[in-house]
Amino acid sequence: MNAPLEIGLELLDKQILDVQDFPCGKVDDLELVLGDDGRGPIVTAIFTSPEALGRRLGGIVGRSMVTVWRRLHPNKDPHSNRIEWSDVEKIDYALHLNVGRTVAGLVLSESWARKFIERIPGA
Amino acid sequence: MKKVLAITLGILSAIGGFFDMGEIVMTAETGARFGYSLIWVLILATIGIILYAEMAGRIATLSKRPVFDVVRERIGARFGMFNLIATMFINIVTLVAEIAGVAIAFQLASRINYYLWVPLVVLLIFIVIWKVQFELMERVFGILGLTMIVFAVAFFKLGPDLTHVAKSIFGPDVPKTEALATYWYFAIALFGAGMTPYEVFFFSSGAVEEEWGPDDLAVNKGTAIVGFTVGGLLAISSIGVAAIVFLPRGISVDELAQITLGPATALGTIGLIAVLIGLFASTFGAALEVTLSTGYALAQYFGWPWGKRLKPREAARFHLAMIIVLLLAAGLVLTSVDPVKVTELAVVFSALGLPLTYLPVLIVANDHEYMGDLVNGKFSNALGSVYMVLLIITSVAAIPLMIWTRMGA
Amino acid sequence: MRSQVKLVALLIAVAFASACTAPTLTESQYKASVVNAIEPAVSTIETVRLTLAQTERHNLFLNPMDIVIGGQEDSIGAVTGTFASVQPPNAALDEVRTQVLDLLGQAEDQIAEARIQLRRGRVGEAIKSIDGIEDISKALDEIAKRYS
Repeated sequence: MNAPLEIGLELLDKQILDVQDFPCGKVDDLELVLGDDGRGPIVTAIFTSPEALGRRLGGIVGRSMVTVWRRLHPNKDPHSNRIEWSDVEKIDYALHLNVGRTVAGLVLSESWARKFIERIPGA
Repeated sequence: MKKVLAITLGILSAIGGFFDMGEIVMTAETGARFGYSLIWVLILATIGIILYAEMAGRIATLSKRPVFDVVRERIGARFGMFNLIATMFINIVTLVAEIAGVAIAFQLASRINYYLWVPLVVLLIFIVIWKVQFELMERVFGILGLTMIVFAVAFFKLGPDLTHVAKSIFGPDVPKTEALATYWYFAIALFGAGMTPYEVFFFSSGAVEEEWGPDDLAVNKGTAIVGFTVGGLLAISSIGVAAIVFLPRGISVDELAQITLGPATALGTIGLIAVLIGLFASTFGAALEVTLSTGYALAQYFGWPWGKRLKPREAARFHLAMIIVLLLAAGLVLTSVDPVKVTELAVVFSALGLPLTYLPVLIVANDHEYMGDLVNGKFSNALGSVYMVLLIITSVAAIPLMIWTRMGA
Repeated sequence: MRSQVKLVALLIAVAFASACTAPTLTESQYKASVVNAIEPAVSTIETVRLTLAQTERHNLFLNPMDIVIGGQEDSIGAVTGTFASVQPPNAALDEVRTQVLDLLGQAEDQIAEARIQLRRGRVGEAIKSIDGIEDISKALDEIAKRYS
């Protein structure tokens, strides 16, 4: 995964799928590091969470997304889910990971919702 | 046979989607006040929804991803978010109207006040979404919804003057008692009701739920054409029935219960029973579609697992979101809002949001990366662009006309 | 974004506010309110007549028809209440006010009676109780024609 990318078109806002094709959110933001050999910036990690998206969107909607996310999050000082670039297998219509969703720590809000859903019969 | 069954997706979308609470109320009101003079709007709306539903279905079939999934990545997160918020708002107001419609159908059959039915209606919607398979759901409500054909039968039984109908379509006269602004307000409301955004979300997500592949492109086109044409004809018949039964008597439609009088006058008890079943099926079908569409839109924007083919526990956020939306809508129904007024509000908001829904469909349908060689042809694009202009005009005019005419008062 | 949200909220608030009836002041506005009261009242009377006639003709089952009539009874009550609360701008218009309110009141009473009979399953009695209601409808129509 070292080929040049048009990040706006080919990376941001793509669907993330784990190794079992389980949907794990969208590419909400990126971590870019300037290459030391003078080449352009290199993507070192991707972020996915309402916080990362909220910061990127900005405005009243973005800010309230960040606030709500922080309130609901079980951790006191929560961070967005960070996926190392080395965990990315390939990019086509979606961004495929070579790890499972639990490894990447992407199931928090889904598990949170599942706690409610599981109590309902027939779930 | 499989193809025939596949058409039921279109029929549910059409009866439950096109001829839903918004269209049932607006066509009856329109026919009672303007006679046949607004039928042309329904023809326009029917062609528009066929055109765009076909595009949305084609996008879903080829890319395996429904419209909302593509919107964010293609048009951008910011536009996607604005679109999402607008869609949520329109859907919730629409859902309030549909739930009220189902509850009133139960009230008409039982005499028990419709507020008491609301909890049961919401529970029923929940159970269907929770347990009933997608295909079964659309078939049952598609077939039940066909009882709405009673409007077409009633219209012909009432002996319409067909040359007069044809004249009114091609050279409509605004009745002298009505202001021009009111006429256009109703035109926009009918158009908004016909092209309500949730229809395309449901249609394209449904194509993914049913796992359509490239072989199903013909089915896609067929369902869009057959389904929405049926829906459009029913809506036109409903205008016709109101124009014959209500207009000459000076009756205006301000209660949903009044719409039973048309089929009952023409066909007696059978007409009455059919319209009650049809009212239930179409509003209930629409309530299911709106609820699912809301879940689809949220899940597809944020990248959650979604779909009725997954167990609720496998798509927990998707199902939780739908529960919250249902409870919210039920709460709003119980604030004793006037069901007819809420419906009018819902269709005007739909009209306002039309370009937000349809512009991305047109853009993506021209994108080779998603569509391969099956991008829009010249014909689809030409017609699609004409409609885009219409949709934008409708959207811009909706709120000023609503205020100017005091919601058509 | 924020200003757009505010604008839409404001527009919606205006739309709702403008749907309410303000106290009438000028003569022409009062005349308009007469017409505004008569149109829905005629609609109500005609709906009730149609409902009962079809119920008898087709021997329709009564639940939905009962709901239709009940709804119409409520709406004519609301119309009467709104119109009664409007202050006529001069004494000359008191006469038409009384006339319209009398007609509306009569219609409302007859419809209530029809609803009572229908709920007991007596369709014939219900039809008898709206005997002559079409004359009220006509009289209201004539007043509306004079003022519109």
